[in-house]
Formats: sequence, C-alpha cells, structure tokens
Amino acid sequence: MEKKELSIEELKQIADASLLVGKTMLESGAEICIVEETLSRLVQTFGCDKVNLSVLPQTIAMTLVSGNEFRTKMVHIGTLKPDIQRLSEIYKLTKNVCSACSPVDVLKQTKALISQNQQFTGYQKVFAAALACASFAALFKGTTAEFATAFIATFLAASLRKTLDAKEFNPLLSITLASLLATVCVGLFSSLGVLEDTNIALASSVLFLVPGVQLINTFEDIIKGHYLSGLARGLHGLLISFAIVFGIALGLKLLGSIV
Amino acid sequence: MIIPYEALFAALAALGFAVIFNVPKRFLIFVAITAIIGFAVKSVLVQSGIGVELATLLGAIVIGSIGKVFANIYKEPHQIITITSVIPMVPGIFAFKTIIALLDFVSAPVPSYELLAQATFYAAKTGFILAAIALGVAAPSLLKK
Repeated sequence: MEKKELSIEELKQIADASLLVGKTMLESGAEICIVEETLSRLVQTFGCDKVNLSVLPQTIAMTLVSGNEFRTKMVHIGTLKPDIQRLSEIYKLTKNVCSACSPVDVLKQTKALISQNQQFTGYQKVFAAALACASFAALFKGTTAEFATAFIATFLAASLRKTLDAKEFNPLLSITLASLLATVCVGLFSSLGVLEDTNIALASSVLFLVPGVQLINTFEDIIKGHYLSGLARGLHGLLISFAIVFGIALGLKLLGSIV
Repeated sequence: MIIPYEALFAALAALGFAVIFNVPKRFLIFVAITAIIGFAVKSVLVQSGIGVELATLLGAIVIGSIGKVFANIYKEPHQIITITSVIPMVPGIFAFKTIIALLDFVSAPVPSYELLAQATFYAAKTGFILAAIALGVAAPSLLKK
C-alpha cells in the first residue's frame, strides 16, 4: 500500500504533539537518548517519512518530512523538576500510540497528564527528605542525636526551599538559603553539646539538595555521545553544587561569629 | 556482612528520595529492595578489601541490571527504580570533607599544601564514586547501540 503524503496542517499537529511529549519528558528527568528514541518512534507512527531531531537540555528542534512537505519547529525546555510518575505515564502513552491515533488526541492526553495532581503532597515530600537525610546520618555511622539533628535540620531546610520555590525565587538562591539554614541549625545543636560528630549531621542534612538526576544523566549522556547535552547538564549540576557549598560556607562563617 | 540496620537505612534513604522524585507508589517496594541489594553488594565488597570506587561501580551495575530487567518486564523506563536506588551510595561524607578542606584552604593566611592535597584527594574520591554510580547504572543499557 502506498504511503499517504501528510499535509502541512497534519505535520503541524504532529510537531505540536511530539514536541510537548519531548518537553514533558525532559522536564521530568529523562535522558536525551530516550527522548530522541521516543520522538522518532512517535512521528514515524503518525506517518512521517523522515525526522531530523536536535534534543538539547534547553531546546528541542525538529524537522518533519512527508513527501514534498516539511515543517520545522522548536520548543524551549523549562526547569528540570524530576517527576518519575509523569515520565512513566508519558512513556506508556507514547508506547500505546498507533497509526490510527490522532496527534490531536495525543496532545490532549499529554496536557491532561501535565495537569494531573502529584501523588504526594508538598509536606509529605519535605518529611521524606528529612527521613532520607537522617537515614544518611545513620549510614555514616552517626548516633541517635546526629540522626535526630539531621532530621530536624533537613525538615526546616526543605520547608524553606519549598516555600521559596512556591514564591518562584531563583532556584540557586533557594538552594543556597536552604543549605545555609541546615548548616546553622546543625551548628546550634552542636553548640548544645549533643553531637559527637557535627560533620556527620551537617553532611547528611544538605544531601537532599544534591542534583542527583542531573549528575547521573550527565554521565549517561556523555557516554552515549551526547557531549553538548551532557556538559550543559553537568555545568548546571556544578552550579547547584556551588550553591550548596556557598550556603554551607556562609553558615559556618555565621556560626563562627555566634557560637 | 551488611548489618540489618544499615539495610533498613539504605532502604529508607532510597524511599525518601523516591517520594521526592514522585516514583509511582506501586513501585516503591521495588526501589527499597533494589537499594538494599545494591548497597549490600557495595558493603560486602568494601569489607572484603576492594576499593570503595570499584565496589560502588559493581553495586551500581547490579542496580542497573535489575533496572533493565524491571524495564523489560513492566515496560517502564529503568529510571523508575535505578535513580533512587543508587542514592544510598552517594559519597556525601567525601563531598563534605572536600568542601571543608577547600574552605580551610582558602581561608588560611598562607597557602597550605597539606589542605590542598586533602581537598584534591577527597574531590577525586567523590568524583570517581559519582562517575562509578552513573557508569554502573548506564552500563546495562550500553551493551547494545
């Protein structure tokens, strides 16, 4: 059977749907190669003859070709907010797309997924961060006092970060302030003389700020040949790490003049 | 051998980050079990005298392999369990020691080569362990082009 040539309007619909899928995947923490694979599969399922894709951490650009028609479009990628549930739903959605499916429906379903509520509330996430960092204190062979201190310091710092993020502060500033608060909080407990090793509580209480997804994706992207994307993500991860260090340094300086 | 309470805290650390990263609730148990297995592999290897970097790499490869099998069975991206399961292996203490040594170095009145050597040593250890984690997780999916 001869393949039907797509009109410019159909190519526009396919580009809109697939770019929104790609943008959502990247913002949820997907690696570059998974986004490339998914988008290539998606547009070919919709009947495009060829696709040229450029997936970068800040943009996705694609040219769709069908017969003599072609359409080029690019989209800007927003801030990375790792969301594995959304990534999983989008992945399943694209796996179930068939040639009979309409790109308009895919666009609608993707928008519906984006507007879905998170399965955990903000304070459940803050509690989880506190528990995770306190568990690190235990793994670093800390005492019960260090476990409890890391829990309280992280709880306060994660709450501050949540509040600042909700008020749309600069992410690097909110990380610096959260790291500063955790350091000061641990320092105050240390001044009470309850901690055997302050470093354990301090190191544990800022771990929830470490850009784990960026750092892992950096290496994966570089290993798979996406050097530019890997380096861009790595640089972003490095900036976040500097923000954490800056917060700790400020906190220690402040404690030096208080305690 | 891995002490049971260490396994519990490794699972709790992974679960905490799984909640932060919004991992689907039905997969949280997989995250906890995978984190315990990976952490146990790393701990046993470190106790048997293997360097922490190589032990971390092997622990992360185990987690990456479990993630690959999971992805094939459940038709889900492997990140669902791998990203949070490797969290207990993050070299937090080494990273912190790097920061402290660097801060001491820059705030010292005269350059101290001992502090610089300390900072470089801990930074290299942190970097190698992070690279081992990322490489280990990615390794199973690198077998094919």
